[in-house]
This record gives sequence, structure tokens and C-alpha cells, in this order.
Amino acid sequence: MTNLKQRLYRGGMAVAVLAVAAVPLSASAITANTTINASVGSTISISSSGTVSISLAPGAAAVVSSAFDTVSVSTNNTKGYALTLANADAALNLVSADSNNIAPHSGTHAAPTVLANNTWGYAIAGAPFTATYTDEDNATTSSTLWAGVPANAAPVTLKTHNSTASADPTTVWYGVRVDSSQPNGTYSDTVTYSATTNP
Amino acid sequence: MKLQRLFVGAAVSLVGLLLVSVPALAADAEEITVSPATLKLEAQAGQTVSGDFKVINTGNVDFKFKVYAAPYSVTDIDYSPNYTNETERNTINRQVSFDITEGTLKPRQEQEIRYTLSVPADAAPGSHYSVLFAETVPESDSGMVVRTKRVGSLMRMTVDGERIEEGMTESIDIPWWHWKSKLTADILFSASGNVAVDAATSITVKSLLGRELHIEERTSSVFPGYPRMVSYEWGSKWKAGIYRVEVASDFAGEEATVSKYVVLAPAWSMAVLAILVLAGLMAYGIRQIRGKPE
Repeated sequence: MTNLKQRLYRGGMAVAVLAVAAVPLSASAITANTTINASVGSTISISSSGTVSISLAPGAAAVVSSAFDTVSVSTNNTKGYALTLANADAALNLVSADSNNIAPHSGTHAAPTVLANNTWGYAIAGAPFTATYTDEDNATTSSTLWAGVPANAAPVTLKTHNSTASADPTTVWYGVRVDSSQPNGTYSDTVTYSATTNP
Repeated sequence: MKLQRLFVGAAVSLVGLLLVSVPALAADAEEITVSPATLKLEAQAGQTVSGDFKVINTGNVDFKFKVYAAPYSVTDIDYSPNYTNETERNTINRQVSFDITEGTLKPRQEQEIRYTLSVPADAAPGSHYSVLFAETVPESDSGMVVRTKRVGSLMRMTVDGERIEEGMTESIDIPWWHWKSKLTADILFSASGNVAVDAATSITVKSLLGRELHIEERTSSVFPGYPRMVSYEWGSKWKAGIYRVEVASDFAGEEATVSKYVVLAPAWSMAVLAILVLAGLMAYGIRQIRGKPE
């Protein structure tokens, strides 16, 4: 009898194990797909640093003072960009409130030269300009090279970049040379930086 | 032990802060953005088309802005842009109007602007170019040199009609000797017809053992009547040696490839070579003198 009980017990356990093993471990599932789209628009940006202020105090000798501006361009267009500089209009002088003028320098982007007395201009470090520029503060001797800012109708290309750009900087120097014949006053003019993607 | 862990943790944090340097605008930086940067439109003569673009303040300070359309042309084979010269294919700017022409944006604000272009009934078939500018309006007291900044969305309008797409690869120039610090390659394209033709170009630079050192690909549009030079540069002032350069182009249905070995020999390498040759000659001369019998 004991043997029968044991056999019955073992048999029942075996059946139970088999029954558990036979229970399907996977369940049916319903799935759905969602497509994620992200659209990245093409952009172009331009920024520049603070004001460009130049102070001059001519004495017996003419003096040169300069300051720089950093223009940065960003674009995700793979063709890159072109950055140009031009005067905002056809009037190229620095003009004071009393209508006195500081004339544009005669040097050009291709052939920059040392500033003449009572002129102003711009420069980009590197040939054909001077290799490096530093702030000049009423310097009585200066050999740095400069070009006159061109009129609006003929902008000069400062840089061409042929791929995407992230805050790509271009340092533009502005210099003025005056002697004591230049009337005192606050002179100013407006220049325009333009950035467009390359075609 | 606890103190040691604190010290190590602080040191690691400090190094992490130094390494993670995210380029940031200056505190008072004014930055103006337009999107999209290019607009490609198609229309029939006499049709009116409209679309939108955005002006975005991505800087740190408020700015006033204005929008307007200007002609777009190029002035040389490097495709230096000009925004005032008018040609027969860039006066569509006169037919562009905007629903908003000025405004003020605070940092991170954007303004969507609707443009409308009325294509003249007598517009010639083919490509026409313009640029939609967004320009900052500077404050009254802005220093001796007042700077305005403008970014443009380059618009290429194709007017339906007979489309003539023709072009030619004029030359592929890879000098074999480069004495400056970079090797260069130039490809000159010209297009005729009435639509711009896209040129796909690439440059591959390999070492003598065939290892690829540089690959660069570009797509450039060539305007009819305005030849375009696509120029590549590679190297640095410390690279010198013999390289294999391959330039390929696919333009107006024709493919061209030029491959050659070039010598990159900047000034410093020539000086080193000259010194070595001189030293060798001196050594040879000394040996000859010592070897002569009395």
C-alpha cells in the first residue's frame, strides 16, 4: 500500500511537472510602429562684437589708432558662405556732427598701404595685409597696411568658407590716422557685413 | 580615506568643467539668423508665388531689424557676391513684397515673414536670382564705426519654359610642385544655356603607400555666362612629402578625373634639404682632403 501511495505520488508530481512545462511561455502581442521625423531647416547667422570706438589725440605728429571687430558666421548649409564688407552707402567718409570729414584711405583689398594723414580704413591680418595687428593707440609711427572700405555697390569679400560653419570668426580691424589739422569731434560712418550661402 | 575621495572627486569635477567648454556668445553679442538659407522656387511667367522665411534672434540682446529683397550676382570666377548690380537674370527682387518689413526681436524670439513674388509675364524661362535680406538696425550711439549686419536667404527662381542646361569642364589643374604650405587643385567650369548647372567635385589625397589622408566633396552651382573656379586646399605648414592627388568632377553629364603625384615642399623643408646637401658635400670634401697623400 505504501508503495502504491508512493507511486501515485510520484506519478502525480510527474504529471504536474509536465503540465507546468506544457504551459506556453510566450504570449501573443500586438505591436504598432511610429515613425519619427525630424526636419532640420537650413539657417545662416551673423554676429559681431560690441562697439568699435577709436580715440585719437594728435600732437605735433600725426597719430594712428585702431580697434577690431570680430564677425562670426554660422550656417548648416553644406555649401558654406561668403562674408562681405561694404560701406552702407556711397558716402565713404567718417563724418562729425559739424560735418567735418575723415576721408577713406586709398589702399585697396588687393593692394593695401600705410594710412595717409586724415584717412580711415580696414584690415584683415595676413597677406596682402600686415601679418598681425594689435591695438594702436595714438601711435606716431605705424607701418600697418590698410584698405578703404568700399562703397555699397562694390563690396569686398572678406572670407569664403566652403562647408558648414559654427561661429566661424573673422577679425576686422579699423584704423584711423589724423594730424592736428583734423578738427576735433566725434566722427562716424556705417558699414555693412553681409553673409549669404554660396550658390 | 574619506578626505582622499573628496579630493579626487573635486579634482575630477574641476577637470570635467575645464574640458566641457561650450562656445558661447559674448555677453552683449547681437546675432541675427534667417531660415531657410536658400529658397528654390519654380513658377510660370505671370504667376504669383508665396512662401515664408523666419528671422530669428539667436543672440543675447534685443535688436531691431528690417527685411527687403536685393539682386544677386557674382563678380569673378571665385563667385564673390554682389547685391546691387543688376543683370538680365537678377531683377526679380523688384517683384518681391513682404507682409512684415520691420520689427524688434528679443533673444530667442523669431518672426515668420510671408513673401510674395509676382513673376513678370515676360520673364525669360530659366534661372533667376535674388536674395531676401534680414538686416539689423543699429542703435544711434554705436561707436565710430557703426556696423550693420545682414544675412540673406538666397533665392533661385526657375521660370517654366524651354530649359537649356549646358556646361563644360574647362580645366582641372593640379600643380606637381607646391612650395607653399598647402597643396592646391583648381577646377574651372563654364555654363551656357538658361539654367544654373550643378557641379559635383571631389578631391582625394593619398600617401605614397596608398593611405587616404583627405577626402572632400562639394557641390557648386555654375551660372550661365559666369565661369566658376572650384578650388581645393589641403595640408599644413608642417606637412612635406610626395602625395597622390585625385580630383574628380561630374558636370553637365560629363565625368572627368585627373590623378597625379605631387610634391609638397614648404620653405622649411627646402631649407632642411639644403642643409643636408651642404653637410653631405662638406663631409665628402673633408674625406677627400684627408685621403690625399702628402
